[in-house]
Amino acid sequence: MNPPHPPDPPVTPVDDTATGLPGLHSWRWVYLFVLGCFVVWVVLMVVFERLFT
Amino acid sequence: MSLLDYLVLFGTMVGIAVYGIWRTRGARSLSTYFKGDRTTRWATIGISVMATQASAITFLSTPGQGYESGLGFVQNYFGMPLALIIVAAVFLPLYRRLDVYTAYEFLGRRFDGKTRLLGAALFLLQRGLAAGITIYAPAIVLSTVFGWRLDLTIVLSGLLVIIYTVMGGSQAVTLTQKYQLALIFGGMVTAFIVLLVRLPAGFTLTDAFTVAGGFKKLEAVDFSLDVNRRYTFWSGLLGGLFLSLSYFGTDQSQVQRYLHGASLRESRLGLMFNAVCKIPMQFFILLLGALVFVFYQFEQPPVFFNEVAWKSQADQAAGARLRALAADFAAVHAEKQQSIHVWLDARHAGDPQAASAARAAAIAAQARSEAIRTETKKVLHAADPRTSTNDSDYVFITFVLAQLPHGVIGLLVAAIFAAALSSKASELNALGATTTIDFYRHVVRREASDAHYVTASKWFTAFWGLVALAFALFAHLVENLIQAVNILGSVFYGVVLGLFLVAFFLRRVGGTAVFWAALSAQVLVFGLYFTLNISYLWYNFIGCAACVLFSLILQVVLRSREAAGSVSAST
Repeated sequence: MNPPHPPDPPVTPVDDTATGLPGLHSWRWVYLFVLGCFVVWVVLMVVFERLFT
Repeated sequence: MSLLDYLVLFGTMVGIAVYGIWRTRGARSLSTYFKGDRTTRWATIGISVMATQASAITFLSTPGQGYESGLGFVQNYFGMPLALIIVAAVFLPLYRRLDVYTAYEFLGRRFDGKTRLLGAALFLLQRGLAAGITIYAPAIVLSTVFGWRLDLTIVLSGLLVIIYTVMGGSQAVTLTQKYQLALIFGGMVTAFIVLLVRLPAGFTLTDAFTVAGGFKKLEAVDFSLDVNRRYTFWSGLLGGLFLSLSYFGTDQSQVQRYLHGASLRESRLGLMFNAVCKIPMQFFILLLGALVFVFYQFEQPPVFFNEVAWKSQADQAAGARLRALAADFAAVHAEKQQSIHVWLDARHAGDPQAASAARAAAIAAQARSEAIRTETKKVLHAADPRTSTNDSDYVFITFVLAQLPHGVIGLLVAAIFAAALSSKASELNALGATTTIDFYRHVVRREASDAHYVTASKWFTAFWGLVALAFALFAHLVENLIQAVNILGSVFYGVVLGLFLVAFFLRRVGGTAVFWAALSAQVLVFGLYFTLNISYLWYNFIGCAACVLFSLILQVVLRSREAAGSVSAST
């Protein structure tokens, strides 16, 4: 049996972590923005469906 | 198709191929050949990821889905935003830190060689077969346009794609995809505008949506918990999450696209671009299909959209029956058209009772139309059992060829081919890369020059192209192309994702445990697929959960046996 081992050490350092986006200064905010867009799409589709069905 | 259409079509196809070959000319290192020169910005990565996923199938099959079943298919993509966030936050930084060529190389570093080979083999099997289906899609276009035999068209168009892909490298694939996607969007928007312009005079967009909604073509979100329904919010969210996580996180055809990024930021933003834009894009394409359905309420549609198949039987023994069915279909269509006009007039006049009665009459006529279509399919199948009864993939191209002006037809057919080339190039490139890096360089020949591996990769790419071509010859037996690709993905992806989740999050699990767990989980998924009748999206979850669970159990068993062995050895 092969013993478990952690991943190899980094070969190159992690590059930039800044998002460079206005108003979304950390990746956490970028991810929240994306999830917010998803919720908006779903709500819009439900409203669209209810309007015409 | 006119001369202008042919000029647009062949000019675009040849232009893309020549551009790809020109940009990849000259000797390259292995790194540049597989990962580009690492200067690509987020917009190009985002477009490349989108173009890889949006194949010709997206253009042919998705509007057909919208026409037949409405907008419900969009739920398939509901898990994608969350999946892309996980890939951007967890998978991507590790791939970049370890500077891997393929996702399966990571498995080798985390576990062992056999687990790496298993992950790579599952990818090659699944993607090699799916690549066959994506070769089949543009072949439908050619066979319909030129009236050629479908099998001959598959071979010719497949060989063209293989030559282009073998000549082009990964970097050229990314670069050309920008122009290909622009062509695709241009084609879709043009089709949408033409649809609106060609609707009857005095018929507004609201009227079009009312008709589509009345025939239940606008039902996009279904919150039902019924697992037997193919597309629901929950199956899309959970199954789609696992499908997307597998596809974007572990499928080399996608991993190779975002490894091109100039930095982690560029790759992440490219993925987030897709997380935001993919759902509205799919919604729009499905809506296009629903509007084609509305259009054909006022224009006589063919009784069977694969007109080549219909005409080939119309001159045979079943011809009289087929023509009689077509005449019945036309009569019912005229009746339905009349009911829709009454329905809309009553609605405009503010008479809900009359509108409701006319709508009911239109729906009843639609049911009779569908019954005639079903009977036509039965007659066609009885006359020639090789004839596929599925014609939904022919809906959009029939509309394009019959209703759009010359020049625009060439543009749309070119857009379909652009989509085919962009996704096919990525797939075959990834198949070649995985075979070269994970099998050839890892197992067969460990020490060789970069030029040798680049040449080997080209040969492997050609090999996979031919495998895909062979599979494409049988793809006409599949009910719906885009569903077939997703079903194939769902059967394999869950287990592959399980391998990666164990690698990322269960640090105590070793190679042997995860290897046998993955094999067992794959057997379980195959068994369930052939015995259960549940939405295929659930297999992503089942395969992944089984792999993770079996890994944990096997690790405990192996550790206790190891402990028992060491105790007995010491006594």
